[in-house]
Amino acid sequence: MSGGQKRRISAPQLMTLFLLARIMHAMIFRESGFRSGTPMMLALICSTAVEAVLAIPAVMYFSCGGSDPAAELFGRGAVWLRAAYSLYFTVICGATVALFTGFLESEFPDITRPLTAMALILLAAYISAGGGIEGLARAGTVVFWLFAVLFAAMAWVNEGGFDWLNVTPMTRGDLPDFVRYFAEDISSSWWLPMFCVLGAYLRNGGARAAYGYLALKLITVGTLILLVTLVLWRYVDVLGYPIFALGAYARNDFIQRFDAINMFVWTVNCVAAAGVYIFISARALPEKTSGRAVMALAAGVCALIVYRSGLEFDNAGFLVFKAAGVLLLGTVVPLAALIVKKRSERCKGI
Amino acid sequence: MDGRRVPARLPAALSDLNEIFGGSADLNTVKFEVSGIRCAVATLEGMVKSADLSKMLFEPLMAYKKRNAAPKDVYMFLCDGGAFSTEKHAVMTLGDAAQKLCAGFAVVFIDGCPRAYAVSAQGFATRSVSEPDSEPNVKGTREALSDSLRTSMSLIRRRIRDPRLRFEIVRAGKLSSTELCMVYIDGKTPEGLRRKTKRGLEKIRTELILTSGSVIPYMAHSGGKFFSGVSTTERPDVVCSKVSEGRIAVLIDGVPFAAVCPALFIENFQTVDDAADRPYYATYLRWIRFFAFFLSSLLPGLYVAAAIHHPEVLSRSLLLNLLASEERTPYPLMAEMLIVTVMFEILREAGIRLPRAIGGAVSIVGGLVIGDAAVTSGLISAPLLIIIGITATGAFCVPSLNPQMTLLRLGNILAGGFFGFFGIALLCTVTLVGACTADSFSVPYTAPITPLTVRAIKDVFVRISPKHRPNGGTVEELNGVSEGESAE
Amino acid sequence: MQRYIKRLVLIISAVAASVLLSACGPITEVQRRVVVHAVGIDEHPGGYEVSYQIFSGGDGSSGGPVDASESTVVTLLAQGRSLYETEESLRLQTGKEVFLGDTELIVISEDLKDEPLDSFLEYFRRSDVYLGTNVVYCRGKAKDTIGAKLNQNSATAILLRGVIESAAEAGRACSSRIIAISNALEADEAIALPILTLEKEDGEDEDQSLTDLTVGVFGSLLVSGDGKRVELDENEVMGIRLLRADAAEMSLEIGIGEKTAGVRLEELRLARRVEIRGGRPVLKLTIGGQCSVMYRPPETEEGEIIEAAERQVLALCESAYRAARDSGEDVFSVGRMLRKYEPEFAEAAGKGLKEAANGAEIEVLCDLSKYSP
Repeated sequence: MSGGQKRRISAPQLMTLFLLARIMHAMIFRESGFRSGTPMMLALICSTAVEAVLAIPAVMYFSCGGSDPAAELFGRGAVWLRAAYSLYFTVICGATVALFTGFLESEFPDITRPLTAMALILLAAYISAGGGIEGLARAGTVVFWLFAVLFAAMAWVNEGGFDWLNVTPMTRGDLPDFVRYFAEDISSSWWLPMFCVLGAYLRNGGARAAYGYLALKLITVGTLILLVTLVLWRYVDVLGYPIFALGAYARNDFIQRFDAINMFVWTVNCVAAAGVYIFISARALPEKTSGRAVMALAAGVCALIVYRSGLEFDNAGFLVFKAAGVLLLGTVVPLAALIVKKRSERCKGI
Repeated sequence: MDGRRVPARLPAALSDLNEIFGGSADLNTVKFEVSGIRCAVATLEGMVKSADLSKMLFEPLMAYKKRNAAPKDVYMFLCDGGAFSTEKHAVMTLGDAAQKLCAGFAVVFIDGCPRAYAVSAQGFATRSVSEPDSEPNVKGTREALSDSLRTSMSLIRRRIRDPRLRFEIVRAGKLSSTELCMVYIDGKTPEGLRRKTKRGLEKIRTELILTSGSVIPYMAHSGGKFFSGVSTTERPDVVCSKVSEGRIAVLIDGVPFAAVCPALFIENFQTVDDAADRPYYATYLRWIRFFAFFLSSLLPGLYVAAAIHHPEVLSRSLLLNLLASEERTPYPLMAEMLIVTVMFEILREAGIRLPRAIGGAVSIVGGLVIGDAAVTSGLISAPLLIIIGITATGAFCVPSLNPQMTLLRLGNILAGGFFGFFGIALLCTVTLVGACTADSFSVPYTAPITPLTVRAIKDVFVRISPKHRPNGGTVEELNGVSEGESAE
Repeated sequence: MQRYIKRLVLIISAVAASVLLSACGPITEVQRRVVVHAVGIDEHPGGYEVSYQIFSGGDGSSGGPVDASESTVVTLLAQGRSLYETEESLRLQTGKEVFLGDTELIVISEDLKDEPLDSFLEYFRRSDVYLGTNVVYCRGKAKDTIGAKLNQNSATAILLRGVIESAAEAGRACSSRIIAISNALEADEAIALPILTLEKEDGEDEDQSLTDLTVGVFGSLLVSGDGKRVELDENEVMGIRLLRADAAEMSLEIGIGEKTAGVRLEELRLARRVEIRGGRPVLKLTIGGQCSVMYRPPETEEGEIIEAAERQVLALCESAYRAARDSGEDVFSVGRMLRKYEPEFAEAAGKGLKEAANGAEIEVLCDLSKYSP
């Protein structure tokens, strides 16, 4: 995380990268007894509000001209802190790839073996990360539009109708669901640590990237939840993957089923997201080492562990790990860096 | 280069020159006397036009009469307008003399004078200005760039009659010493881009420059392994258009193609006829080209992937037709597709390499005879042949991306055959990121789509009437062009 | 340069390894698949007899487009203790992988009407079966319906689906898609599934052949999660569709005095509201729409026709309400409406919500005053 790198990506591009990572999480989100509905939507709104607060230190730090919170705190070395970021995103990358492989295995079992799928995804992500964050950010924008077009097309040709009776007000009985979804959404906010790392590449508009993302996330994920609730309701639990289920009810004269096309876009998104994670992880290593290759391999090991152990993102241990990362690396570190920066500026002023 | 000064004695000078050329058969020397002073004119066979040389040099020299003339007088006579050529140079060293001879000059040696005089009388045979065969059009110019650098320069100058148009010559190639000419418009092209291009050209270490391929690697500043940030064209109007957008074109002596940088991905879908056609029609054609590119790259792979791994995607009638036709073919679908794709490439290659008359016959044999026989005999299914037919035709719509489309097609068939849409998605992502990573002199290859430049994107998907964009725009104005890099 | 070669070798090795590994996995060529269009399920001692209508298009050498028609479909029978076993049996019979992604219709014999629907749906609720596939019951054996040679064509899945869709468009059948059934059962509601009936055409000789058969939807079966089954006639089904806001259009034959008129109800809308009155839920429904006259007796007024249509609609609703009440099931999504509009009542009712919903009174208003002659 050297502070001298060129600032190369724009706020909308960074926003798109955050959103793709979030959508990827929403795509591979699988829960038994899944109940889309009001508690989930309310949890999304509440968690977004909390995220907006959690993002304040990072936004302020970058708005004040900061570029590298780790370096701000511990100087150029900051080995342990960098390693923490690296470890965090290696695990996230591995888990994302493993859970996506789980999706492939359950919905498209004949395509390939899980290990091959993981290896191929990581290889593609490794190659993609080699182009640097600029290439990934530019490609991310295209992937986002691809997703948007697919989403619109699926909604257009969806054979289901809206049943507004599916949207019921939240009752006291829904409180446990609300709390669970809230915790899951907050712990999935690893865009905050991402922001702390990628903020160094941002040309300007840290606040725009952060709050633009939150607004976009609210609209996108909120719309997805609403559509799933209105069109599919409880059937989502049968199919397992909520967003995938939405595509499963779409057809037209040319395309009989959208499942495989959905998977196509998910794969593209998975590679793009994994590429960003590998890029972030590799930044912790000295530039002369084959950082990307090492991190891709490490992510592969993580993916293997997650896959073999059958962990899901909603597993309690995982929730704690993700949430701790979000709070420590995404909020506490930039807050401390901001305080140090302000103090040093005051000293210089004196 | 030989740095020895030109010997004052004529026999020594001629002997040294002969030594430099190693007694090469094409070195001609003509000896004669001018007012009693022994002179010699050296030329290389076929590089000068004898009639012009006679009128420009020999007739004035023969007419020069001066009593007690000294060698210096003859030399001064030549310098002061005695020779009618527009391009004349004093030559001080033997190496310089040799270089001038190679460039088509006639070099006059005067006995007793320690310098020579080079007179331009190039007259080597070149191809006349022909039609642009590789970039044909309907309503644009019929002139293509020429093998002769000077002719190409004139073709460009005739279209941009503005003193800000600059031609800057750089020599490259250890053996060929080829003239490369940078074409740009002063004030529009960023100074950094001009300087970096020149520096790149000066770094060329190859011995011969016989195609634009020898120059392009030195022009492409960074990024992009699969897609190139440098394009080539043989059309002078295209060169003018690009140059007016702040780019640099490099003309190569002996090559009728100009290399232009920075190049953008979307330019592959724009043609000269777009400007000539009505905007709505040009827009429609542009979309057809976009569609053809994706169709040609993806369709065979998607077809194989859908048929093998995702039959649920296909509509019922298509699936049933496919099933019925595949029932009688002996090979797996992927192998079948690979065979037909490779066969098509063989036919295409044969069509290009063979003389045109025979090339046409190859197409007929390949397309009609082999194709029909293959389907009738049950070796290949009819839907598959249709897919390849559509794919091949689509590839011709965007010829500048043909290498990429060919490789992508092959890759997609393999990826789709083995891993279905998953494999194609992986390949597409790597390709997409590769294209997005590519840039040329800090101008992103995928601009203005990503990074998005709203004012420029209008001219990507629709053809904007020149009335609405009288001045056009320059590449420097695109978003994502790294500040301080292209314009440094 | 060496770096590039290393990288190239690495990539090629990885791709080659992947390719070799994937070659170990099963790749099913398209011609090695058997495409199923319709599935018929019958009772069989110790399990099921399933008739699979499959595509058998020959080798396509005749040229021209191919589709699922009389000449390209065959019906194969497979027996097994479970549906999975019958699928395996079909695979062994044909030597091909069974492809259910193109299944248009699932027909269950009425002999199996007492079996929980979930036991069948469990098998079909998988990713390769389209969740919009229709599930219907049939009179008699499902294999007879699936394999019937009708007077106009074979009973191909497309034709049977067309019959069901026509019935639904006319208001005589409810939506019977897997997703709708699944969601209804999950919400503890009952759903009316069409019953396909194969019958001989009227007015034919006694010795007519099998090809004089015709197929249609002449009734429905109200199905609930707890195994209750109630047969419904056409009027009750039409009433249910009206009260569930499940019909946008409907054709009616109405009586005006001694004479009859034909009307088409279009742009049907249902405003639903539930309120608690005296500790009991009261469902307040307002049906609105436009009444188009298809044919009318001479000298009848516009107002007369509308009034008669409204009366007819109310009568249909009345018969549907009675049928629902007799069945003891929540047919009109009252439970969900209570959860939406009266959440406190619904929460207090807890598991007794279904009983509360069934005991709901219904007040229906009908306004078809938008008239189109």
